[in-house]
Order: sequence, then C-alpha cells, then structure tokens
Amino acid sequence: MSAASQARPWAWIRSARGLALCLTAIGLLAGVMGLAAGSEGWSLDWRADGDLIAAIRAPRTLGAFCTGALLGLAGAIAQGLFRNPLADPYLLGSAAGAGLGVTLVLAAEGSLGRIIGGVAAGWLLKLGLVGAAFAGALGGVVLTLALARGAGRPLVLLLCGVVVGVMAGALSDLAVMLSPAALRGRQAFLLGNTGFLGWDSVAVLAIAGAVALPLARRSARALDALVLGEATAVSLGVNLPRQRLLLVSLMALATGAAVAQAGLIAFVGLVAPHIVRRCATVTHATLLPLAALAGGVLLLVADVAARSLIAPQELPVGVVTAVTGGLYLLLLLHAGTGRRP
Amino acid sequence: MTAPLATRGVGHRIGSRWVVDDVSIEVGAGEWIALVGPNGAGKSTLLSLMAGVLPASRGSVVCEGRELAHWPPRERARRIAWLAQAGDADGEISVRDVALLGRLPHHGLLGSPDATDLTIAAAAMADSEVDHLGARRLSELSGGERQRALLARALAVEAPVLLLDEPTAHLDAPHQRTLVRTLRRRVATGVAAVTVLHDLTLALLADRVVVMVGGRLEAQGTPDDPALRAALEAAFDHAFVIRALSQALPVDQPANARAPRWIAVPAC
Repeated sequence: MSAASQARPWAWIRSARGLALCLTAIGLLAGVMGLAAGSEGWSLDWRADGDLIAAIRAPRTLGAFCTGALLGLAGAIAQGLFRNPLADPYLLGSAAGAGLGVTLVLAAEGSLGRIIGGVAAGWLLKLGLVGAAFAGALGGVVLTLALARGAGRPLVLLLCGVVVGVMAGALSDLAVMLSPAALRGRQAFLLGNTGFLGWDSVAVLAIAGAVALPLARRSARALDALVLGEATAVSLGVNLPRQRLLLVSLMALATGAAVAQAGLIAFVGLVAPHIVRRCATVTHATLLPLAALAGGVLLLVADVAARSLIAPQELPVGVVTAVTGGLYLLLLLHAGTGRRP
Repeated sequence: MTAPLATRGVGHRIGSRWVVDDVSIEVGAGEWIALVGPNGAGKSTLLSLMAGVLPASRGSVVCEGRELAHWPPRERARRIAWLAQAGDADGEISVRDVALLGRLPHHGLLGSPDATDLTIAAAAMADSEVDHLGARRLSELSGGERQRALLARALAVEAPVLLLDEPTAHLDAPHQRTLVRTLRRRVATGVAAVTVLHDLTLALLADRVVVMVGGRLEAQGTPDDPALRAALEAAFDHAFVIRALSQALPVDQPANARAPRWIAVPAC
C-alpha cells in the first residue's frame, strides 16, 4: 500500500474523473435494454435517440453520479465525525429515517395533489420530499446517537443504527398500510432506483452537493483533528459541539437529498471513502471531494450494471449496490485488515 | 508575573467519587514538574483538567491570571499543548499531517499551514525523531513510533505550557533520553512543562515532583528534598527505595540540565 499511498492524490483525481466521463458516455449510450450486444441499447441514431438521451438518459446518468457523490460525501463525513470506519448513512439510521420521511409525504400526497394540482404540486412534492427526507435523516441519526449514548463505541453505534433502521422501516410499513396509494412509490424507493431521475431531480441533487461539499470542506481540519481523539481535538481549539451539529446536518442534507430522489441505495457511502483511503494517504480536505467522486463513479458503474446484467430487464440499482457493497463489508470485517473494529 | 498555569482547589467528580479532589498547584515558566502517583491517583484526570479538555466540578484552572473556561478555545489551544495518554489515536492520516495538526490553533479551521507552520512542524518531527516517517500512516506505525508522532504534534503547537501524559509510554531507552533532552531544551526557553511519569528515576530528573494519592495532592518538592523522597516511597507502599547515585552520570546538555542524582530501585 505504501507505494500507492505516496502517490500524489491528484493522479487519482484525474483518473477517477476520466473514469467518470467514460461511464457518463456509456450511461448515455446504454438504453434500458442495457449493453447486451445486438440489442437496441447500442443504437445511436441521433434523430431518433437525441430526444431520448436528452430527456431520459442524460438526467438519469447525471443524477446517478450526483446521488452517488452525495452518498460518498455523507459516508466520508460520518466516518470522520464518528471516528468509525464502518459508519455509513445507511447504517446510522439516517437513510432509514429519510425513507420514513419520504413515505409519510407520499402517503399524504394523494390529498395534496387534488387540492393544488398540476405542475405546482409536482414541484411542491419534490421539495416536500427533500425536506421530509432531510428531517427524517437528521432525526434518524440523532436518535441513533441518543440510543448509543454518543459515538464512542463503534459496534454499539452500528447496532443502534440497525435498531433505528428497523423501527423506521416498521413505521413506514404502517404508513403504507393506512394509505395504500403510497405503496407503489415506496416500493421503487425501498429498492433504490435511478430510473425515475429527471432534470428536476438532477437540479435538487446538484444544489445539495453544491451546498454540502464546500461547507463540509470548511470543517476538514476539524475532522483531521478528530482522528487523534475528541479530547485532543478540543485541546487544539476545535469547537466540538458546533462542528458536530454542522457535520451531522450536512450528512443529513446529503443523505436526505440522495434518498429523496433515488431511494435507499446501500453501502455506496461506506465503500467510497474506503476505496479512496486504500488508494492514497490524504487529509479530509482531499478525502471529502475524492469520496464524493468515488461514490459518483461507483453508482455510475452500478447503474450501468443494473441496466445490463439481466437485459432486456432492469435491476433496481439499490439491489446491485446492496449485494456488492454487502460482500465488500463482509470482506472488510473478515480480512481484519488491522484497522479499528 | 502571573504563572502560565495554576489550579485552585480544582476537583473532578465521577458519580459520587472525587477522582481529583481539591488540588492546588502552580507551574512556573521554565519549570518542569513530574506528576507521579500510583494507578488511579487521578494524575491523568488532573492533567486533562489543566488542559481544559475536561470541565472542573469544583475549583478552577487559571492560565496567565485568567480562568481557563473564559479563554476563547483557539487562544487557549495556542497556550496549552496537551498530549493524551497513549492508545486513543489511530488513523489513516500521515505522520506529517499529524504534526501539522499542532499548528491548527495558530491558523484555524479555515486557514491552511504556511511556510512557518511547515518549518515548525518539521522541527517538531525532528525533535521527536519521526522525520523519516513523515509519509507513513499513523495506523502503520509501531507503538513507540506512534507515540513519538503524537509527541511531535504536541511540540508543534509551540505552546508556553506543555502537558504530557506518560510521554515515555512505549519508548525505548534512547528515545526516552531524546524526550528528556527535548523537554529540557524547551523548558530552558521558558516553557512550563508538566509530565505524568511512571518511571520514577526519570521523574526524579524534574525540577519539582508532585505526588498524588487517591485524587489528592500528597506531597511536592524538589528531588533533593528528603521529605519528598520519603513521601514518594510511602505513596508507592515502599515497593521501591530511592538511592543516591554515588557517581554523577555524564550530562551533555546546556542550560538548566542537572546530572541524575537519584535512582529508584525496586524493593522486591
């Protein structure tokens, strides 16, 4: 690892950016039919496909990248803030909380749509979804922290995250039972899906990223100091309560925005920062944007895979990341790479 | 002139137990204090209180005549450097970045290290002999190497008060010697240092020894004070005896360096 870790991180940034561009191109070319040879997925008849690319594939590809980037960023923030390499918005109850928020809005949508109607309701719904997801994500992670009595004990924290996840899931089920209209929306949601991402979703995701990444980078040195322990960070003049509040909010914003648009996509937030740390020794000022980049690339790969693996059928991308990310987590736990438990 | 750091009847309570109880000590500029005592005497807790990373349940800690709690965090951090007890820190950042964190109180969260910061961090790394490990990650180091990297971080603050909790933990004899020399060099420039030490022979090299038992201040004095040495032996249940060295050992340090005069011998 040492040879690789001494390489300048910029080399990695360049290659990751190149990879992202290639994947974007593939994403634009690949139809729902996937990459299977001879299928219409490869066709590029501009007159016929131009509209298709502009209206469906471009926002979907861009949206997938942004969603992954937000999840990667949220994961990097969580792992630094909680000094826990296994922290992940999905495992900390924040994604489940966001899911609950979205379900509640979907359940209420029917009546709301009838009152206002039309495009305005669509946008209001979109904003309501993001807001509810943000509130749910924040509530989920705060509840997890309260149950675990702080973030000091990594495994207890993860366990409490699982408990909160199960509770939020049960409450979502209850909401759906009471308002069956929300069932279809929620189903797509639980599986995690990039298929519905339109230009409005891309806008929401991009705005969330444009707010969260620069603000998180302003706290990068505090995250570095936290590596040495909370007390040492305090001794270095870091205002810990303020940084905690800020960073948990940013994590909730990133998670909430991603979950509101693309549903529950597991493990991208866990794996992206790990991949970056495996490749380079960096401080958080570099880790945060690199983890976002890695998360974006990961979800683009997963998205293309989801469209191609069982073409002409399509897998929900959340299934792809859950299976591959879960295996990666198991590998990580089993390999006992000498890192903190 | 007001003392760089002083405690006034400071205490810390966990549950109903006073871990540190009514301790008043004053650290002078250019003075090295060794804080000693049996396990659970409250040494680390007292040091945390003095560093301002733990709130006092009673009494106060005063830095340059002003209560520690009233200092803005960054200004306090520029005046007091604290090295935590070994074991908490482990991470994927490089030794060079760890040392540079010592400059954080000077440039703040939004600033970035300038040339001066880089020079000071490099000097601190040289002082604790980790300059050759700059690119390695903290998690890849041995216990002793990690301890020295963390020490470099504390030295890089260049604070007038240096609080070190068991700085010799995991260190071999040559590195212990380097640490004592570095400490003396800093103290000679006016730094006030307090070190928690378990090696009593090393502790008897300090200007003043403060003995704690059961959270309270038991005794304090210079190593040459017979009453202090007797109190020290009693505090450790006479598990060792302090003997005078018949021959002074060579010392190659200038300023206030003192030849070792006393040695603690286990009474097994």
